Amino acid sequence: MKKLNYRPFVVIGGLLLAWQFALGDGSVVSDTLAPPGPVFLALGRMILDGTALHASYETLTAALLGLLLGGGIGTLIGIVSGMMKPLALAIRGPVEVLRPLPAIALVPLMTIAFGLGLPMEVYVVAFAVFWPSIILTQHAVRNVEAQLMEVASVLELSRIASIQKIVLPAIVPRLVVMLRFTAAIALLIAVTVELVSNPRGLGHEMMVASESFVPDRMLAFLIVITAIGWCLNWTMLRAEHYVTSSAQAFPE
Amino acid sequence: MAHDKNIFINIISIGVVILIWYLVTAFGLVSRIFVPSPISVYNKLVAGFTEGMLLRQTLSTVFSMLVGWLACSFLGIIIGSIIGIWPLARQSVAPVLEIFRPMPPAAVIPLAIAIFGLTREMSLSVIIFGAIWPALLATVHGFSAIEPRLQEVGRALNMSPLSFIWKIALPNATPDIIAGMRLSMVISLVLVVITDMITGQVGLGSLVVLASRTFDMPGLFAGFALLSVIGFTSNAALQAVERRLLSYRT
Repeated sequence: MKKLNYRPFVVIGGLLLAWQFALGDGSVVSDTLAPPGPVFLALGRMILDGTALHASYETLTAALLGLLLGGGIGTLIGIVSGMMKPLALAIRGPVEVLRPLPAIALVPLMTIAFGLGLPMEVYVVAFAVFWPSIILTQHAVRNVEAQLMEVASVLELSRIASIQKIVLPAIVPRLVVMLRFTAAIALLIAVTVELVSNPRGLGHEMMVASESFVPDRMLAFLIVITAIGWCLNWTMLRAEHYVTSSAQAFPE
Repeated sequence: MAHDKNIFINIISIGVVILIWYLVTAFGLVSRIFVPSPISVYNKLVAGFTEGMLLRQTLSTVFSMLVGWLACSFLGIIIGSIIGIWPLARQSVAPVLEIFRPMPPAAVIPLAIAIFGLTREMSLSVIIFGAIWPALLATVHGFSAIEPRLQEVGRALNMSPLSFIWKIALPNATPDIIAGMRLSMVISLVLVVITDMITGQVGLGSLVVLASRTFDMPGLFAGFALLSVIGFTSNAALQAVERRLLSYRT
């Protein structure tokens, strides 16, 4: 058995102690920051009364719907343009110019167009996820082994059949990696949209707590957000591991 | 040669997109309230740069982005080098970093506001916290991927840890670090915009918010255009540096 690496826990303990000593001895009464004790109390309270769950649900729905919309269309365009070189050349310019536009900057426009609420958040997330999906899928398709594509042409497969039978299975591992990347972006954008304006979800709860000087609640929400990000990352890593190991289970 | 041809195609395709945009607005397919015509956006840009404060807002955004980016690259490389070179630090600090890394950078904003208030320091701290990860992790990765033989060379030459970092590890990790710094730049721009939007400091983020509140659609799209130009140019510049610095490798 591998020896447990205890050092990280020492560091975390040290950080918690530093946090406690910086604020918790009662000499500093703060409206803006809270020592660890109350924060964890607030965390427990909001998990028990369901606020944390409800807010996480709202944030996650927006993030996942946006991921589905933007990632879906982006992947489709990526596959098609990855197979047709002229198309890839043609869309490259606009993609490169629109991609660096921070999605959050679109929030005001989307608010005017769709109003506050779920749809607006979903579109912003979709915009953010759309560009990396195109580029990463294009890469994945271009990296499909040339021999496999030759097999497709020898078998005289139609375009659709060769996508279905050869390209898609070949790019699945890369798509899962891409999904980990884009899911992190989706969560980040959803929380940020809520922080900036949208009155729903974790980001909004956190901003409200901060603006009404309830620091323990604010930090507790920060912990919830981080935990969700961490779970998402972990799940995607497991999926990646599963996909690559099952790909290796059937060598050619 | 092929490179020139690609640029040519890119310019044409961007031109086509702008033309479609123009036609859509000219024929009134989308309401002017939502999408202004490219000409009015262009006029707005010209007016903003000649008499308005667009230049100041743009420069302020670019300046914050560069300061934040330089600071987080610098810190990221230093901390990354320490973690990369020192096994004890790698074992104890690296897993803790993994806890903080998935934290959405924007979620730190309320905390940063609580500590620093609505100030430039607040923006800078948020940018550093959010954008440091790519540079930091790339440095750690670059250091851990040093060939064992190079380490033996360092030991055989009795190099001090500092000169080992400077002469062997850093050059070896440069490709990773530059790729990481490119990502850091992208995140810095995003975070500058977000903090500007929340704090209302002079910058393109607050420009976008103000323009939308006054239903000044040309102004809003002018802000988008400038942001995408900034993002595109900074990325292209770093890519050029990357090619130049790594040309010896091919």
